Amino acid sequence: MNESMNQSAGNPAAERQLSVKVIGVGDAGCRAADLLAGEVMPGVEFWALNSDARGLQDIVKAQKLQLGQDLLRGLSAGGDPELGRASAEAEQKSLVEKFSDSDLIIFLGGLGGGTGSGALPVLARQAREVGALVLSFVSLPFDFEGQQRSQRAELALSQLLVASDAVISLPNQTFLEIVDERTRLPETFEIINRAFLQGVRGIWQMIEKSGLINVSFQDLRSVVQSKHAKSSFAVAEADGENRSREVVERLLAHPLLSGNDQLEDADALLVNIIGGESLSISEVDRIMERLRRHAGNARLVVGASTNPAMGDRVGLTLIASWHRKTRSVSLKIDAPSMDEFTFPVPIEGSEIETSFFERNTDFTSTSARYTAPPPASEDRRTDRLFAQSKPSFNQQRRIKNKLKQGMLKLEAVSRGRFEKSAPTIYDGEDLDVPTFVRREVALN
Amino acid sequence: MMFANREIVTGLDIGTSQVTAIVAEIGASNVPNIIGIGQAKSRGVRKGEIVNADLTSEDVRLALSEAEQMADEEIRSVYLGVSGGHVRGFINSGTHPVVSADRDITEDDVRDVVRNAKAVNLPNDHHVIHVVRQHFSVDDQSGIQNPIGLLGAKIGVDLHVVHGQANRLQNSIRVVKGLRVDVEDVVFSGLAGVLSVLTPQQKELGTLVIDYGGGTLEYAVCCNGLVKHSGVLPVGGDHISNDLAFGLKVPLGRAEQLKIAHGSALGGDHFRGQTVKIPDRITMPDKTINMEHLGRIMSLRVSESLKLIESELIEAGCLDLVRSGVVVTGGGARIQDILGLAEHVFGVPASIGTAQNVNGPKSVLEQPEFAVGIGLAKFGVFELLKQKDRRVHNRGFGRTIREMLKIG
Repeated sequence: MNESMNQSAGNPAAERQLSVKVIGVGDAGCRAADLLAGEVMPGVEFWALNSDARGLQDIVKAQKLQLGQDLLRGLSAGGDPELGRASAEAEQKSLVEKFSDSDLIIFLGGLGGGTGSGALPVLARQAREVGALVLSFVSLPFDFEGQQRSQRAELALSQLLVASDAVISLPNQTFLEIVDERTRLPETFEIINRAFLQGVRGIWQMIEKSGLINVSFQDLRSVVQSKHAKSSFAVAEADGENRSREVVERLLAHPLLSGNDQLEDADALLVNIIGGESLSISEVDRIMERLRRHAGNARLVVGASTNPAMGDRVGLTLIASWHRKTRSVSLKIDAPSMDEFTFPVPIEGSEIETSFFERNTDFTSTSARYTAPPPASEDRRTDRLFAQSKPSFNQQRRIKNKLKQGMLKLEAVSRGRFEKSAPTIYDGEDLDVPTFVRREVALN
Repeated sequence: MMFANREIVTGLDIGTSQVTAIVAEIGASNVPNIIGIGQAKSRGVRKGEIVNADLTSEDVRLALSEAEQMADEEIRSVYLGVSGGHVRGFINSGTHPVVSADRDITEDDVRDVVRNAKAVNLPNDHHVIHVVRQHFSVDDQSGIQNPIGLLGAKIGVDLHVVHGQANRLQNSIRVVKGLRVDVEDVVFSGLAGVLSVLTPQQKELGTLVIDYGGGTLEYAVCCNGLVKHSGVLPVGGDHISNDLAFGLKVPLGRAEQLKIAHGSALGGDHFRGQTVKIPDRITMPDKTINMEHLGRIMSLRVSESLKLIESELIEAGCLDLVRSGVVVTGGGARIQDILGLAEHVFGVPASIGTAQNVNGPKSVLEQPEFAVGIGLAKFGVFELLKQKDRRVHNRGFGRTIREMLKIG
C-alpha cells in the first residue's frame, strides 16, 4: 500500500506510473538519448552509457554512466565488440540494480562500432532477465563504412534479436533515399537521430495514458514480448483536406518500409495516430481502414491521441514486426561468418526460406532451435534448390500483394465476374461484392 | 454518285453489354434524321472500360457494318462515347477583375474569366473531355447569361469540367482507329444521354438523367438549361446479374435471364412465397428459385446504386436542383419497378428516357438502350451544323455543351 502511494505521489489519481527507461549505448546511442532527453516525456528516465569518457562529456541532458572504467580507463572500445561486451559485463551489478524497477527499457544504439555492437546484446539480456520489456532501436552502418563494419553490425543484430523482445533497425543507407544530394553530413546524422526520436516518442505516446484510444502497456507487451521480432518503423505527417488519405500514402511510401508489400507479411503492427484537436474518430477509422487493407493478417495495436501543437496536421507512427524473420533484408547470405553452416535441404519450396533465414538470424541459438542436424548438401545442389524455390516465393508474394478488404471474408467467392477487374472501392466498400453480402441480409 | 454529298454523322457507343452505332443526317429544318442503326453484343468491356481490345474491335466492326448497310453509306468517322470509373465531373470557378476605366465588360473580359476558370488542377495523366460553362456572375449578381455590355468591377464564372484518365480514354479511340475509322471527337456518355432525351422544359426546370448501363451508371443534372453536374459510378446491370448468380447459386447466364424475366427493383416482399422453376441440364430435376430472394438481392443492389447517386449529388450540392424529374435511360430502364424506386429515392416523378427532337424509326427512338448512341449522333449533327455556320459562332469558347443544349 505504502509502496503504491509512493510511486504515484506525483499523480495521485493515476495508478502506478510506468517506469520507462531510454538508454543510449555507444556514441550514436548517447547522442540520440541526449536529444530525446530534451523532449517532454514525464515518467521516462534517460541514460547515456558509453565506454568513452570523452563521448560522455558532450552529453548534457541525459544521466551518464561510464562502462568498463577499470577495463578501458575511459578510452573507447576502439571498434572492438569484444571490448564493448567485456565493458558491459564488468558493470553488470550496478546495471542490474538500475534496471530492476523498470517496466519498459528502450535501448538506442548504433551497430557496427565497438561499444554499441558489443555492449547492447549484453545489456538487453540483463534487462530482460530482470523482467523488463526490452525494445532496441538500432541504426545499421552506411554502405560506405565498409564491409567489416556492416558484418560486425549484422552479427550484433542477430545477437540482439535473441536478447531483446523486439529490435527496430534503421539502416542508415535508407536515409540516403530521404535526404537530397546536397544535405551535409551533420544534417544527415541529425535526421537519423530525429528518426530515433520519432520512434521512441511514438511508442511513448501510445502507452502514455492521455490518448483518445489508449494502448496499455500490456497490449504492447503481449505484441512484442518474447517474440524476438525484427521490426521496421516509419513516420509520416500530412495536413489539408485529404490528410487521412495522404498520411497513409506517405507512410507507405516511406523508404524505411521499403515498399508496402512488406506490411503484408508483418505479424504485428503498432500504429499511433496523433493529431490536433480537430482529429475526428472517423478520420482514425479511415486511416485504420486503409492500413488494414495493406496489413494482411497482422495483429493491429492502435493508439490515437491529440496534441494541440499538431494544429491541422495528423501524424502517423507505425512499427511493423516480423516474428518469423523471413524477410531479414539486411542479412547477407555471403557473410563469411556463415561459412561454417551448410544449408539444410528443403523438403518443400517454402520451407527453405524460413529455415535458412532462421539459421542466420538466430545465430547464437541455433543449437537450441534445431535438434536434428540437416543433411549436408553440395553447393551446386543448394544453388539449384534456391533457384527453384525463388519463383514459388515470388508467386506467394504476388498473391499476397493484392489489395485486401479486411472486412470482407467472402471476397474471394463473391466477386464472381469481376474477379479479374480492379475492385470498385467507394467509401471503403467494394461495390463489386453483392450488396446483400455487404449489408449482411440473410437469405434463409 | 448522287448521294456522295449526303453528309452523315455516326455516334458510336461502346457499352459494357452492347455496342451501338447510330448514323444520322441533317434532316428538314436542321433536325437530325436517323438513317442507320447497328448493334452488337459487347464482349470485351467491363465496367465501361475495354479489357479485351481484340474482341471489342470485332464487336465495333460488326455494329458499324450493320449501320453502314442500313444507312447505305460508308462510315468514315464517328463521335465516340466514353465512360468508365475514371471519368469525373466537378465545378471549377474563375474570377476576373474588369480593368477598363468605365467598368464596361467586354468580350476580352469574358474570355479572360473563362480562361481563369479553365485553369484546373488535374492529375498529370488526366485529360479534360468537356468544359461546360455555367452562368456568369457580375459583382456577386449571379445568373447572368451574357455579361458583355454590362457594368461591373468583377466578373466570375463556373465551369463544369469532365475529365478522365488519358490512357483509358485512348484505349477506345485506338480500337476505333484500328478499324480505319476516324474519331471526330470523344463525348462523355452521360452528357450524350442528356442531349438525347431531355426536352427544353426539362433542361430548364431541373432534371436528373441516369443512364443505367451494363457496367456503369452515368448521371447528369440539368438545370436552367445547363448541365450542372455529371459523373460515373462503375456499377451497373452486370452487378445485378453477378449478385443473383452468387446469391441464388446459378450460373451467370442463367442469372442474367432471371434478372430480365423476373427481376424487380422493389423488394422481395412482393414475391413472398412465390417460386420459379428453371430447367437445369446438369442436375435432372428443375432448380427452384425463391422469388423472394431474387427480389431482395436485386432491390438491394438497385436501390444502393441509386442512393449512391443521391449521395454524390448531395456532395456536389445538386440534389435540390432536381425538381422536375428523373429520367432513366440505358438497359437498366427496363428493370421492372425501377421508376417507382427512383421516385422513392429522389422524391420526384421518374420516367423512361426516349429520344427527343430526332426523326427516325419509332422502334429506335423509344428504346432507352439507344439514348446514348442517339445523343452522340445528335452531338455530331450539331457539330456539323456549327461547322457549316461558323460565322455566327464566336471563336474562343470552343465547343461547349451549353451551345448544343440551346439548339436542342
